[in-house]
Amino acid sequence: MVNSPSKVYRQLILGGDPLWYDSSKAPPISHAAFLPSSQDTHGLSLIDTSLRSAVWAAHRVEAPKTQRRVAELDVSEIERIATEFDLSHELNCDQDELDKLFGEPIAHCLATYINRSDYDSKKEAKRKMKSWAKTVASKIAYENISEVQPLPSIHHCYRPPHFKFGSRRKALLEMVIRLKLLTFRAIKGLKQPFSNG
Amino acid sequence: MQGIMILKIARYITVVTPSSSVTSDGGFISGKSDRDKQLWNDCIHSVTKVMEASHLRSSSTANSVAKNKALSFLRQSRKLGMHPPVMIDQEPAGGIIVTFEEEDTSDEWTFYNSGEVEFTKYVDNKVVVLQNAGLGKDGCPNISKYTSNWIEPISSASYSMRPVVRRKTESPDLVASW
Repeated sequence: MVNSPSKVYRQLILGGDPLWYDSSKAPPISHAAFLPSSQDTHGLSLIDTSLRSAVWAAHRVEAPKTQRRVAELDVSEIERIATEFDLSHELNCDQDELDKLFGEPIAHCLATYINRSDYDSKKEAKRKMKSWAKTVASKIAYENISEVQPLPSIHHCYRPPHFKFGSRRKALLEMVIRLKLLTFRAIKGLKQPFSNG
Repeated sequence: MQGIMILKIARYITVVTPSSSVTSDGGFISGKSDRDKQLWNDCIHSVTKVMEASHLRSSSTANSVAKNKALSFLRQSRKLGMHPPVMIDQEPAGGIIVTFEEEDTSDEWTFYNSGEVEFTKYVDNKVVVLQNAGLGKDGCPNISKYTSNWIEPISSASYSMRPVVRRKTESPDLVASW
């Protein structure tokens, strides 16, 4: 299934800070954050910003005590960079552990063109992915890197504040109303033969 | 007159005496500023702390193989008179990345946990060279084969291991003033 978010979060490993950098220069955003990790075998993990809040986007069920930063990326921009380096650009919906807990709509997606399998086995793919990661890191603005996010608690909303339940609720309501109508008709239909007979 | 002579001698010494020096362990440090020395110390120290930090911060990190190779590489680079790196980071699948930068070009050395060493050269963020770096007997890659990140050109004839000392009479300027 192809997803089409306009902005996505990327979790930054090790809080997004390099181990060391020349402090006389501006703190760099390491391109290593945009390289596929050993877990990204099928694609780079990204999270739709319209469906999951930053606090929860920085959280991993597998490592619940690790605090992370997130980088907000413009999908059209990362896709443009992917095209520049001859990479296909497709974001696929992929349910992660949090999606399983909170249900649809699914926030987690994969940029399949950045994956560890090809990175480790195909030199040309690795060359492209490295170029992509370096360019993405160089283009990202500092205001798009969040502070280290707190560990989520019951007080943190899973869905972002701008998430609208409206259409979904409306659809649900419509479905409930339709079901009631059908039941009513069915009961009425059942009663009618008896009354006639 | 004497004052002018002293000034000229001082200028002469500044011109002909190279800033290079020989370290106690035989290494050649050419034109290093105090700031560079401090940067080198700090970055080497950061790698030695990787193992301590690893269990605190993330599961994917460098092992002792990558750490030791990166450390010996950094020490060798320092000895050879290279500029200090601009960044040291962890490879997301395990390893250490050392990045040197010069304007639009950056040289990146990746020390994987498997023991492999990879050299990547970027120009305007685009990879132009990507290859496995062969290792020498000391377990370090042949740095000079890949990089141009020297403070001063190491192969230049003027950079002998000994500081150049000339006799005063060699300077035509000074001869004239005598």
